[in-house]
Amino acid sequence: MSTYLRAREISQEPVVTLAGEDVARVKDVVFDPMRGSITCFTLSGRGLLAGPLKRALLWKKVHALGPDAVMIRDESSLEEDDEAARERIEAPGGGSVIGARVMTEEGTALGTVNDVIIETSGTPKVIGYEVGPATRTDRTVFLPVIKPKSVSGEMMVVPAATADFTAGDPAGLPAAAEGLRRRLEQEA
Amino acid sequence: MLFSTAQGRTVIALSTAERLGTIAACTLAPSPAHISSLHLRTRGRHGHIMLWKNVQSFGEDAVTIRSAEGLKPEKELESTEEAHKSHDPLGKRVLTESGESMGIVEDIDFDEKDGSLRALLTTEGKVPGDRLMGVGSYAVVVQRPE
Amino acid sequence: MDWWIWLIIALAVLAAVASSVVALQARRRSGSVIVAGRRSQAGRKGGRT
Repeated sequence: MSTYLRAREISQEPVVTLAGEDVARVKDVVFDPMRGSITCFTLSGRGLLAGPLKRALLWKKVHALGPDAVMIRDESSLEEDDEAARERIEAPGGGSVIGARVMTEEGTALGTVNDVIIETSGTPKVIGYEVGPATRTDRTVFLPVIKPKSVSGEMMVVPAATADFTAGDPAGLPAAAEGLRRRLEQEA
Repeated sequence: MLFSTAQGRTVIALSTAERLGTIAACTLAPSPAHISSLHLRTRGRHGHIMLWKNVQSFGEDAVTIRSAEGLKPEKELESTEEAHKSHDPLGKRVLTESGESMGIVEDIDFDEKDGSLRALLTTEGKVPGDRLMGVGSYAVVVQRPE
Repeated sequence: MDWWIWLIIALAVLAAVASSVVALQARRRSGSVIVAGRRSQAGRKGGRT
C-alpha cells in the first residue's frame, strides 16, 4: 500500500515514543533534494506556551513516520542539541523550499513550490512537489522530480522535460516520474 | 470481561470485612499485556490504587482483596510507576507503531482470573491484546496489524 | 473613577498580553520544509569513501 504524505502536514505532527508519551512536535522537515531522503526534523515543545526546542531528531533514530505521528523508540532517540540539524540547514543552498521557484534548464518558470510529497511505503522518499500556478498554467500541479539539476531555498532547476510530465494528484506522481525517467534516458 | 461492567464494583478487604471503595479505572502494562493496577474510588477526596497482584478474586458482585494494606493513595505515585494514571487506556487515542491513528479506546476486554488483556475495543474496531506495546499519557501504542 | 473600572482595564491588559504570548509562541513553533544545504552532502559523500 502506498500512502502519500505532504511534508507540511508532517510539520506539527507529535513525536511519540513506543510507550505512548508525546515528547515533542515536529517543527521543520529537512530533506536531501538530490537523494530524495528525509535528513532530520527540528522540534518544538508541546502546549500553548512552548517554543522551539533546541533538540533535533535525526532520520536514523526515527522508528516510523506515519500520517498521525512520528514514532520513536524512547526519549533518548532525540539529539541533545540541534547542532546536527542547524549544520544542514545553514549550509549554502539550505533553506525553506516552500515558495521556491521551479525553473527549467531552459529558463521557463513552472510555478512555486507549495508542498513536498513524500511516499511512505518502505523508506519515505520525496517523490515530487506540489507546484502552485505559474503565469501560464493557472492551476496547481504535481511535478515529479527525479534528479533535479540543482536546488536551493530560493529556486529549483529541473530538466526541461519535467513540464511534460505533471500529475493532477499525488497518486499520479509515480507514473509521471516513470514517464520522465524514460524520456530523460532517451535524451541522454 | 469488559472493564465497563467491572466499573463501579465494590472492593472488599477479607481480613477486616471492610468495604474499601469501588472500581473506577485501571492501568495497562505491556509484554505480556495485562492490567497492572485498579484505581478505586474511596471515601475522601483522593482515590487509591491497588496492584493487580493483590486481587484475591474478581467476583460477580464484589472484588475481594486480602487486606487494605495493598492500597496506596493515588497521589503518592511517581509518574514513572506502572500504576500511575497516565497508563489508563480509556478514552485515549490509539496509534500503531507506524504512526497511524486507529481511533479511541472505548473499553477493554480482560480475563478476570489473571488480569491479562484480551482486546482493546476502539472506535474503529477491536485490537487483540497481544498487540499492545505501551500506554502513555498521549496514546496507546499497538503493533501494526499483519 | 470607580475601582472596578481599573480592575477591568487590568484584566483586559492581562488577557491581551497572554494571547499575544500564545500567538507568538505558536508562530515560533510553526515550521517549514527545508532542503539540506550542499556542504553537508559533500561531507557525507566524503565520509563514505
